[in-house]
Amino acid sequence: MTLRIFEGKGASGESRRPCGSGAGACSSRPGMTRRSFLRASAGATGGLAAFAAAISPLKDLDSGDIPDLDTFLQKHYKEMSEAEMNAALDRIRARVEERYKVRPDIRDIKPMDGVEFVYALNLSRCIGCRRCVHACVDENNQSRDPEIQYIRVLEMPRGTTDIEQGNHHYERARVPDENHYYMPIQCHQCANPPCVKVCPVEATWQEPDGITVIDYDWCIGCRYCEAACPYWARRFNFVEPRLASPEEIAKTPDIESKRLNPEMSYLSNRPRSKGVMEKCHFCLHRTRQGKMPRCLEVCPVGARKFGNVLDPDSDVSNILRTKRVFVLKAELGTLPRFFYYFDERDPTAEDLPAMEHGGQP
Amino acid sequence: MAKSFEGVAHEPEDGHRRSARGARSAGGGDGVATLLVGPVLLVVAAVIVFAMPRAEVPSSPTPLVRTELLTDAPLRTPLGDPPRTFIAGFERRCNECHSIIEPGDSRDELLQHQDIKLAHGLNDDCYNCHARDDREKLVLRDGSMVGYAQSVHLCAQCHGRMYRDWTRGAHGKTLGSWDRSNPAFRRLTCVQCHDPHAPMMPPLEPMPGPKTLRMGEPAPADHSKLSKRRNPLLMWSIDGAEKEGGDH
Amino acid sequence: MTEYLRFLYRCFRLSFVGDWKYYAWMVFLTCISLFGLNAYCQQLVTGLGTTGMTDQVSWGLYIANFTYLVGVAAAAVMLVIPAYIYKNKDLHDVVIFGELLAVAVIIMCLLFVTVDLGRPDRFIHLFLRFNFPLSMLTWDVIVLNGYLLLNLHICGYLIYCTYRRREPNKKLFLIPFVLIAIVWAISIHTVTAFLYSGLGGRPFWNHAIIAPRFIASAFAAGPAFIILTLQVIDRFTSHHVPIGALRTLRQVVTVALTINVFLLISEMFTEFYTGAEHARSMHYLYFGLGEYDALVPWIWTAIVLNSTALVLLYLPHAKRGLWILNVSCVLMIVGIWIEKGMGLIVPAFIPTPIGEIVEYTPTLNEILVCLGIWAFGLLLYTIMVRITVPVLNGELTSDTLHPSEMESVRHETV
Repeated sequence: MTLRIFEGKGASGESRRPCGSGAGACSSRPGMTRRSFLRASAGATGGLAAFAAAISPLKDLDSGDIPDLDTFLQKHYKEMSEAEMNAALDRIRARVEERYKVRPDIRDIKPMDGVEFVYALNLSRCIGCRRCVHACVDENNQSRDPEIQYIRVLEMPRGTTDIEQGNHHYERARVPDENHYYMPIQCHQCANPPCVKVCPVEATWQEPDGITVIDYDWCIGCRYCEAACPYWARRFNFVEPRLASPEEIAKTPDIESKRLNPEMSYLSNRPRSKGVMEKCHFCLHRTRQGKMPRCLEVCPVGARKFGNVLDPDSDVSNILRTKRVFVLKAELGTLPRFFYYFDERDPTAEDLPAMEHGGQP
Repeated sequence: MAKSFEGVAHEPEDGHRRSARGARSAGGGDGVATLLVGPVLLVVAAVIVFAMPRAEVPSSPTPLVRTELLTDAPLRTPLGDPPRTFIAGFERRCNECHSIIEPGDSRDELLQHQDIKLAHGLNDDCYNCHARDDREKLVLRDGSMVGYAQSVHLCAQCHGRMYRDWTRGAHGKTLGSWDRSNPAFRRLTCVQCHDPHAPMMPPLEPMPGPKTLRMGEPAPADHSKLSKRRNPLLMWSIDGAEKEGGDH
Repeated sequence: MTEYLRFLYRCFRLSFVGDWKYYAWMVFLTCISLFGLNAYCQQLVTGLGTTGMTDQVSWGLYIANFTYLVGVAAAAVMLVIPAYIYKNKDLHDVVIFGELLAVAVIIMCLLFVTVDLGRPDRFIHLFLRFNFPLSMLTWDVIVLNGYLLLNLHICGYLIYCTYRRREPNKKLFLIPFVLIAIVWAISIHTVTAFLYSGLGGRPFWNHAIIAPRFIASAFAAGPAFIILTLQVIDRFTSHHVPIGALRTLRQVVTVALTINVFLLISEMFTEFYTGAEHARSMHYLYFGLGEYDALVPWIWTAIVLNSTALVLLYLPHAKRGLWILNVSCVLMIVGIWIEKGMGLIVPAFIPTPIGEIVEYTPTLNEILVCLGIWAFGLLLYTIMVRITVPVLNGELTSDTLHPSEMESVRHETV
């Protein structure tokens, strides 16, 4: 019986109370009392207003933040056909030009056959001048505000190789300090990379030439790789990266160092968006064309060595054969492709009163 | 919860009373409450729009750096072969003077080339390297003379291990390409980095340190503060050096 | 089908009905949720820079809450096991509230993960290239969503059957799912622990003990939460919660908290007695490193709270008064939240793997987002309880009207 009553009146079993807080379904019913209608609409209005107010910041969303359909449907790097890659590159060109007023020369540069890159760093030579840090930023279009850098130089006290003892923030009039040595750390391009393993969407992977790369258009920004990296080599774009456009530089030439490098490639130094990871990629847009990484070329003391480990005559092959090299945190089994080594003391240097010449400004 | 199904049929006494209370309570003072829902939400909307602080991100710009320092140019431009030098603003070949001047003794006070400060360790004699009779040549230990372009062989006589490392690419600087067969491959020679008269690399001013997002004040340089335990490994570094070197 | 839609509609309407306390509570939660939503929208526009997270400490309050809540969700199993395996009658009456809590809490977990993403708009990539089974995060996605579906099914099926006054088909649609859910509950928290303990680069996490500790703390904090919830349900709704259920849960909580403290001591002993360099994160957590000691007051608060709760639970006369139980529940909920949230996530990043020390302080915006998600979760749970209680009590079935609807009909006829 009750059932029939319910059905007879249908869903319009309205009352003052059930509709009170503004169930939209009730407000349009004919039999509704004036008071309950007022209450319901007040509640609904209030609710809508509060909701609208809550999401109001979205009006400031950059138009570039809202992906158009093509961007949204863009495939994973490994799945893109050549035509799709060209379309993606066109979109990137347009976006970079719109944002930074620079026409980029962007390509997708593939790894070379028979090449596996390895880096070696001579700790006896490094003086901690941080040229590499800033050359890297200049080359790879990292955000200048907030600051993102791929290379950290540690000032290490003599007597230990424990990186926990290193000082990241040394400030001196002159380097090197005679009581310290210097240890730059950047992505070690591990052969068994923990960051690649943990990525839930395969946005980062190891290329045939040993470089671990990121598809910045695929990364979802969970930062699991950043937690997994034992060398603290990964960086996250917490906000939209900022670089200076040519117009801004023309106005204030001082900010020349915030310029955008127009030579770029898909997997390396093209500008990133906020919310994605980035990392050192051994300057693959340079190295895959036979050039040296920028950090190496700028090093004033020649502490940095780079080359193809599959070539027995390459510098790095020689170093791995003849020097006592070590890697950081070897116990983790990450198998880095970034080796450190010290020189043997030059026998003729033994008698040199080194402190007399070095270390003083 | 199959249990609760049966519970519907044989609902305990207590449950009846309670459910009645539950139902009744819907009729109590809610008239005012429902009336307030709309206004309260409107107030919240107003608060969100007008009173909510904007989420701020502190700025941490990369300090401006001199881009001219970010160069791959060699530190030094060594003398060419044959070497030339500027005397009173004019470019001269060495032998233009030295063919007239009688070669002096190395220990003598220099009258020319006073800018040269010899700081090459044990190697403190000009004629160890410079040919006494032909100043456009260098002299090897066996007395044979080589041009300035072959200075590497001169250095190699004493710095054998460095030379060995240099030929293998473990010492020195290689520019252009990592591939020996690439025409851009070029290896800098000793004197493109080292001043032969004072081969120690001069100290440099370091570029700015990191200043990343929300980094705060950087850590104290003295890590011994971070743990109270005395670290014998750091006996010769932190304790002594940091106190002297820290106030640069 | 129509019947089912009508059921949903009646549930929807019912969720807007209540006394003034109900309204006040719901409006309060709605407002907090909206503040949270507003804060999240700001974060969407600006980026995760609005949080206190940095490259040095790349996970913070969001993941801390996520970790804690996964435990609470898993703890529903502590009602299910006694109810279904040991046929505990008291718990059988209230087990559904634990399962509903699991549903609400898993939704909160998913929200916490979502707000932590830099690019939530690319969520679809999870379906296109799913790095399973290599990435523990993909395992987590599977187990969390699976657990959500399992509990939604169990609760939904039971409630709907009761609504239709039908005997549920236990053998086919209930018991198998309940048994799966038991294993699954353990798995969600184990997988979440593996998420951390599998990272060799973070010695603070890289322990085999992380997973057991997770489970132990979850089975303390979760049932503690449920004990309080059941009393609220007993007091504010027409559903009667048998005191025996609370007693059983009290035992569960006591044992779990004891094991948790034991595991904690084992972990601290191993780290500190060895004195290896790896203990630096733990050193930071408990004693600070030099001038860096932001977490020290927090963790000691947690230790005091947990120990007090443990002592209270073991007091001889604790069995008598509910209030002692309630106090210790509150203490351990807060204590474990600190210990397992902030105390587990943040120190792993300090110092960084290469020795830099940058501390983490959550921003207001970040806290608002968290509060918003908590409020939204409670809102969901309140609505679910609001619907479930009358259905279980037989006040809302397919062929009867709920008292509130009855009144509306009466109003019509007048």
